[in-house]
Amino acid sequence: MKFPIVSYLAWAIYAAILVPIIMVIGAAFTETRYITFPPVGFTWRWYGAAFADSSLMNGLWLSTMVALASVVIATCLGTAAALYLERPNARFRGAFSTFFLAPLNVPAVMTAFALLLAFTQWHLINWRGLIIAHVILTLPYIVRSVLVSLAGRDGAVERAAAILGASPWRVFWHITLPIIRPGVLAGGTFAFLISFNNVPVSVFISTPGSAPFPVVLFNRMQWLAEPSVAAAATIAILSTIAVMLILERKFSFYRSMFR
Amino acid sequence: MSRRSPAVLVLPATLWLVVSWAWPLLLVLSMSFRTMDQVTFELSGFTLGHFRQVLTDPFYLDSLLRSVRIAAIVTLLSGLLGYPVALHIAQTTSQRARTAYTMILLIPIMISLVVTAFAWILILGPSGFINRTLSFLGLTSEPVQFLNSEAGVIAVLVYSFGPYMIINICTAIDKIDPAVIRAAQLHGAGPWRVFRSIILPLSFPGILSGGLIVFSLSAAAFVTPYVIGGNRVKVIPLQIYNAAVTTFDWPMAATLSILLLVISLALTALVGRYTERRFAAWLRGA
Repeated sequence: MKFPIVSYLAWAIYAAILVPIIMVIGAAFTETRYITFPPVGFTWRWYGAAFADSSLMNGLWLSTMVALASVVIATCLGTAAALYLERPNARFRGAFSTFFLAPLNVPAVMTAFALLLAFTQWHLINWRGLIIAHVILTLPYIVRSVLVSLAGRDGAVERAAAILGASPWRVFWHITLPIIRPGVLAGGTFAFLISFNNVPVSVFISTPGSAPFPVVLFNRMQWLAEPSVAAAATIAILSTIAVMLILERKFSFYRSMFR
Repeated sequence: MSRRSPAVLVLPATLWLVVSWAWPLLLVLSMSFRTMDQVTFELSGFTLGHFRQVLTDPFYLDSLLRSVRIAAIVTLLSGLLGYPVALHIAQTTSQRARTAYTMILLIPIMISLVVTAFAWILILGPSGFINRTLSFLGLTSEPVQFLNSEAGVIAVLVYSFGPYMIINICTAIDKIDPAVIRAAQLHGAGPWRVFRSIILPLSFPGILSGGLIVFSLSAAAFVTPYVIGGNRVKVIPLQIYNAAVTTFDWPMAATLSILLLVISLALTALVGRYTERRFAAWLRGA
């Protein structure tokens, strides 16, 4: 069934999605001191300014480290939890699944405020608190991604190994893990993006001294931004799109979203 | 692997969530019933006063109404603008093209909300793209205020969260059995009839589940109202942010959080129920 007019409408929407992104990338090249699109002239100067900006660069470093650490932790926790949830005879299976996906259903501001309350008491308003918080936010995606790849595997090899006397740990390490590796890696990479780009939660539990990259940008928005912010935003956009392309190339991740 | 399910596997993740997430949420619940001294920040007593204040004070009722209104408009616009896109992806047969379209749709979801807001300042700002185009065409003499307005916030929320709607509708359309459509065509139904009588009703669950996601996310968003609305479009999440980090009125921030949670849970329950009943009725031809 083809509806020709639908294509025109859809193309208009695709353009509307891309145009703002292109404008940010373009605005970073302006020679003016204020931000504008289309850019006036052409200069790489604002990239130099962004890289020389210590709070931006510290934020970029912090964001990367927090994202890596929380993804590693969440991947370990989430994979183990998924191994349990995939068993049809697991006790409280439904309750656990609901619980692990719950951070997606509670309003992000509420989670953020709750963490502010608790972390203030526990002296965790720093990078440690950020990692703890981002594990909460990324865990649901990892559990889901690993569950999907567990469901798609053939259990016969594992059963054969177990019958031949392999210990559960050995079966996991030599058979299950290699089979579900794409799912684990895809979930982890996706979780990295979620953590790296998170603002709502990070903004509550970071101080000016320990602000991750998107929070630094958030604080800059309050004054009229200069073009170096556009350069920094471009860095964030391009690295995000690069990771998305890797996800797609290596794991056909986005294609699988429609199934 | 052993046949018994080793509960030890869920333990680490459960502990992590209970200690660092569920417990703090309980702190929020208890905070909403306490009174806080504005000078010493000491908590005392038990009161339902904050809930009474939120539900009677026009200041908060106004925010509540605004939040719901903005979320409803964003959901509606996402559905109207998103439906053709979902249909377009569903009728695309080339897998490569489908992937490319999907990647485009996911850009607003994956990119940081701050970056999105920044991009839209370039478009909506007083010397932004739209205003300069308007004045270049001689349509306006003064720049139009898109920033600091509800309309601006709505536009950016549709941009950020609309793709969820599209993906959900597209999944629903993909599930429609092509045989049903072919049968209708063989019986002489035109494209419009096929759309109205088959595709639209059968994609209804997708519209509802997508709508639920878009509504919940828009009602809970504070980054976009803060940056685009210049802290002037007062919605509930923004009040929570301000109470939490600016005025340190933590009991009030807690009460508003609970209110937001109740709204989103109630809506989820309602939509879940409505989907099944209404959908069944539609299928019967009601």
